[in-house]
Amino acid sequence: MSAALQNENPEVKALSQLPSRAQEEENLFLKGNEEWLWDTSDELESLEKVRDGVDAQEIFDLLAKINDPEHPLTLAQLSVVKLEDIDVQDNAHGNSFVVVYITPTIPHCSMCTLIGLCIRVRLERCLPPRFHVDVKVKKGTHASELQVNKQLNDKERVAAACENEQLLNVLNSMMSTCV
Amino acid sequence: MDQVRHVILVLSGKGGVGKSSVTTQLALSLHDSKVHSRPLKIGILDIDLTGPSIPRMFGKDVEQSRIRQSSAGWIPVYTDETKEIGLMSLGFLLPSKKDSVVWRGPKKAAMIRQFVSDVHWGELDYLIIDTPPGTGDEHLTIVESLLAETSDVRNGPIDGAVMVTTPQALATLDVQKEIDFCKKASIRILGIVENMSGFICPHCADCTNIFSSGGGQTLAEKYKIPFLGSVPIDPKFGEMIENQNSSTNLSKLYPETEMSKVFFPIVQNFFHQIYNNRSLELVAGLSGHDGRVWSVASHPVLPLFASGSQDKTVRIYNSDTLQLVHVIDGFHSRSVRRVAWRPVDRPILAVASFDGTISINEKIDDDWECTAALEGHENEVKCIAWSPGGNYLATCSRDKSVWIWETTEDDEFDCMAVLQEHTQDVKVVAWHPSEDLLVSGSYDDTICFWRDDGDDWALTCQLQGHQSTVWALAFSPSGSTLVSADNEGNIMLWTKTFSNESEAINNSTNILRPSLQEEWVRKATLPHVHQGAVYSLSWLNDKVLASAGSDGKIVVYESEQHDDNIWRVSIEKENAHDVYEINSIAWLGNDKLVSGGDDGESRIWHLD
Repeated sequence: MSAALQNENPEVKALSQLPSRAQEEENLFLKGNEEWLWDTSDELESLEKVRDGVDAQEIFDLLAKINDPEHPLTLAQLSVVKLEDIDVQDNAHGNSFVVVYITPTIPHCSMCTLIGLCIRVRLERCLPPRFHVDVKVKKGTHASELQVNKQLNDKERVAAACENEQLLNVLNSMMSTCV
Repeated sequence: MDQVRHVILVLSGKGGVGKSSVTTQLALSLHDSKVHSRPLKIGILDIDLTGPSIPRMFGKDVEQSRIRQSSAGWIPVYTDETKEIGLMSLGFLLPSKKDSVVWRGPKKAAMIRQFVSDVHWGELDYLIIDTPPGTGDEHLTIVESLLAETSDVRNGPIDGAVMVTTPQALATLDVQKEIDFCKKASIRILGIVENMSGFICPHCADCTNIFSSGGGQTLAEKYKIPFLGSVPIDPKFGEMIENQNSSTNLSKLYPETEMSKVFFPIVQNFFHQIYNNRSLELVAGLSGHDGRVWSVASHPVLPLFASGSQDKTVRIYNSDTLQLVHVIDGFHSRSVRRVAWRPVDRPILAVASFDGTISINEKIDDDWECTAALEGHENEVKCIAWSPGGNYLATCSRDKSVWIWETTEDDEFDCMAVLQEHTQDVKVVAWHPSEDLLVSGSYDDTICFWRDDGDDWALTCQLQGHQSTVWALAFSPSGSTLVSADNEGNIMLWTKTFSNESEAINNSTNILRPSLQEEWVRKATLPHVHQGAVYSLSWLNDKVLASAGSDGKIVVYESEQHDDNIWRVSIEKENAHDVYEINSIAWLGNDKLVSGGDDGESRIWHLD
């Protein structure tokens, strides 16, 4: 890592501001309480659906705690990874797709490719093989958007990079806070 | 008639089943189908002399459209200026649309014969013949005339017949007579279309079966003929036909309608019947690698194939028995990216790795030995290719260079050229089967052509047809065509142009050595089937090509007999390695294919 930080003053989110499933389930429970007089079977069904399929919240949870390479903060706190920028299409036993759009903290961030690579590796390790992962820079947020996207989506380059021990060490330390 | 590729007969047992409507829809759907990369040229011959309704279906007012004569013959009436759909009907020859045609047999027969011999159809993909109901003079005559006219240019006068029926069992009784006629006249039955099968309400799009249901399917099963599909009654279609005028164009309006969507699966089944499509059947899945299989390669002469993997090893199998013969292990420190057999009688395998080196492994007596190690690339080697004679080995790398190595007498390798024109990683190299021509494809989206000009290898052409990384390149066995594939799933065919002008323009100061610059142009694009990168291409012969990629599909394409610029998809094998991507494919002999995927398996397929 370089001596001078790329971005001295990033915008940081508090932990409580991050979207999480606990909040969602609490909402569902409260809603359920109102409606249980009417019909409980629907609520159970919808909870079950949330558990079986992989959804955007689950992907977000997998990525949220990845450390930024420069700051002692996570990608979620820096808003590099956002829940609304994750698209998931889960077909229980067939080909499924995930697209994660990342928002670098500044438009000339040179750590962008590294962060994108880390996200890819994390998802490749955690998700079942049926998932095809795409990591892209969110439109308009980076000066070299096309180049970064091309690198992140070149299977051969990604595979070769992951065999590089030094790089692998950096990636592992970024993911050290993840469960 | 010699440029007509397929002749189809449309028959029905009874009148009033909507045969002309089915003929029209078949013509429009075929025209619009994406089976080739261009719209198909269709001709419709309406020999229903007592009720010539085809002109009306296309909005051609018979009093205004006249058939013109040329020295080559009668010119069909085209539906629009593209001349992709041409019509020929007795209706155009009658002085008025109110005239009836009250002719006896011989005159009808003569008319039909003239339609066959005197009309200049030009180049047609399909000629669809709309016949009168039942079986009669017209049917016999058309078969005879076609036989007489086309016996020396076609295998049989008619490629097949499509039968139209309505759902009631009564209508289907008459179709049995048609089936009998086809048998007697040796006409292949492509299938049955059940017309007026239900009514689509224009307000709620609900389909009601007015005329009972299931008749067509029952008939198909009873007589063992294919059931192509059912077409409902849609009042909107009738309206559209009636409201045509000189400014509307049915062939442009039709693809937007609901009817065309309903007809689409019928056309798909039709193609399936016409082309006798082949299939790929899984023979075996060979596991053993502990990581993805990056590359598979089959020996040109011996029954051997090899698979190279991320697990740094190479597994060599006997391609007849599928037994594991040897495992090359312990030489490379990183993933094996590519394997390639030297085109000689002995088993010599070049292995390229992400560790930047290439090892040459040979089977000497009964042992496999590593006989040479080629070093020099600065980082990962992406691809290797032996020249057809086995004397040169081309290698390429992420270091943006292409190296050409030459074998010396004592089987040592000397680097004879380092080519550096690409601005990014070079992903693939491939040799021409007969000339000393090397091509390379790169992350920079271009394809470079290299030739030996005596002193050195020089760049003779650079193609920029792709808009993303070029992953695969291969020359056809005859050397006339180069196929290339990219990261977006586009596959293009290129051929060299020979123009005297280009030689004159490139002034060469050295009159003894003509300019090496050459021009390659894109001659066709294959139908776009892959949804994602295409990583591997392999020619079976000049007319059959296979591709595979990140969408896990293996696709086989075939070119038309008469024209190798027209390609269609012959097999689309989805999920060939379940949900995993496929990195490499290679043909084994004439009827087997091996594929290597991210699941670490090499799968063997048989072409049926």
